Amino acid sequence: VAGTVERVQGADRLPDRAVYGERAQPEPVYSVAFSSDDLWGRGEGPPWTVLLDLWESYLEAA
Amino acid sequence: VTDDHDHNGHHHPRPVSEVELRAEALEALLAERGLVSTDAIDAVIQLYENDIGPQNGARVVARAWVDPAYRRRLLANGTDAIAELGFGGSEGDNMVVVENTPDVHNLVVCTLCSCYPWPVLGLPPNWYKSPPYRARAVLREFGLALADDVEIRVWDSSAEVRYLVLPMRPGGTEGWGEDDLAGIITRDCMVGTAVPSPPA
Repeated sequence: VAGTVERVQGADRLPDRAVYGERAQPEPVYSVAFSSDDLWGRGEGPPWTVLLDLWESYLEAA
Repeated sequence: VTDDHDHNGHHHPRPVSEVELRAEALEALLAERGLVSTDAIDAVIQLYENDIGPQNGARVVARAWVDPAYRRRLLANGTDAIAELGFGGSEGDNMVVVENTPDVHNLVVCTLCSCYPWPVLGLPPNWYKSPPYRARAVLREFGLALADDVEIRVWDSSAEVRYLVLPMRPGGTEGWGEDDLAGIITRDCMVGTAVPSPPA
C-alpha cells in the first residue's frame, strides 16, 4: 500500500528490537498518510486519512 | 509482551511486575463478582484526571486561541510550547499538536495499546483502550456529526510521538478570557471525539 510521508518525527529505537532489551541504533520515524480506501477498500461514506508513525525499517520506496 | 498490556494503561518494553499482575487479578475478580463496577474504576480515573489531567491541555488550547504567536509556536513545536506553560515530562516529551480547521478534523487513537499525552490530558479514559474504539473510532457513536466534505485525519499514536488536537474556537466566545475559554475545552475535544460547544 502506498502512502505519503507527511512529517519526519525524529529518530527512535526500533521497538521490535528494543522490546528484547537491545539498544538498536535509532532510526528515523515518519508520519505516513494513507487513504482508508487503500487500506480497507471502498466503504460507506467518504474516505478518511490514517496517519501512522512508522520507522524507516517498515518502509519501502513507493 | 502479552495482551495484558492493554490493562496497564501504559506500555513499556519491560516485564510486568508481580504487583501489577496482582492488581490486575484483583480488579478482574472484583469486577467478575460484582463488587466493583468498571464504572467505578472509570470514576476513579476521572478523579485523577480532574487533579492532574485535561485542564492542563485546556490551558494550552485557551492560550492558543487568544495568542496567535503562541498558536504558531504550538503548531511548530508542541513540546516546547507546552513546556512554556509548565507542562511536560513522561508520555509528553515528544508532542505534536494537530489543528482542526473548517476542512479538517483530527482524531487521535492508539491502535496497539494506550499511548496518550499524560502531562496535558492525564490518564487515558477506559474507552480509549477498548478494542471497539481502537478498531473503529466511529465518531458518530460519540455524537459527533461532521459534514461529509470535512477530511477526517486519524493519528495513530503508537510510536514515541504523543498528539494533542487543537480544536476550533467556537463562535460566541469573542472577548472571553483564557479561564473562561479553558472551561469549555474538554478532554474529548483534545482527543478529537468531540468539539467545543458554543455557549448556550
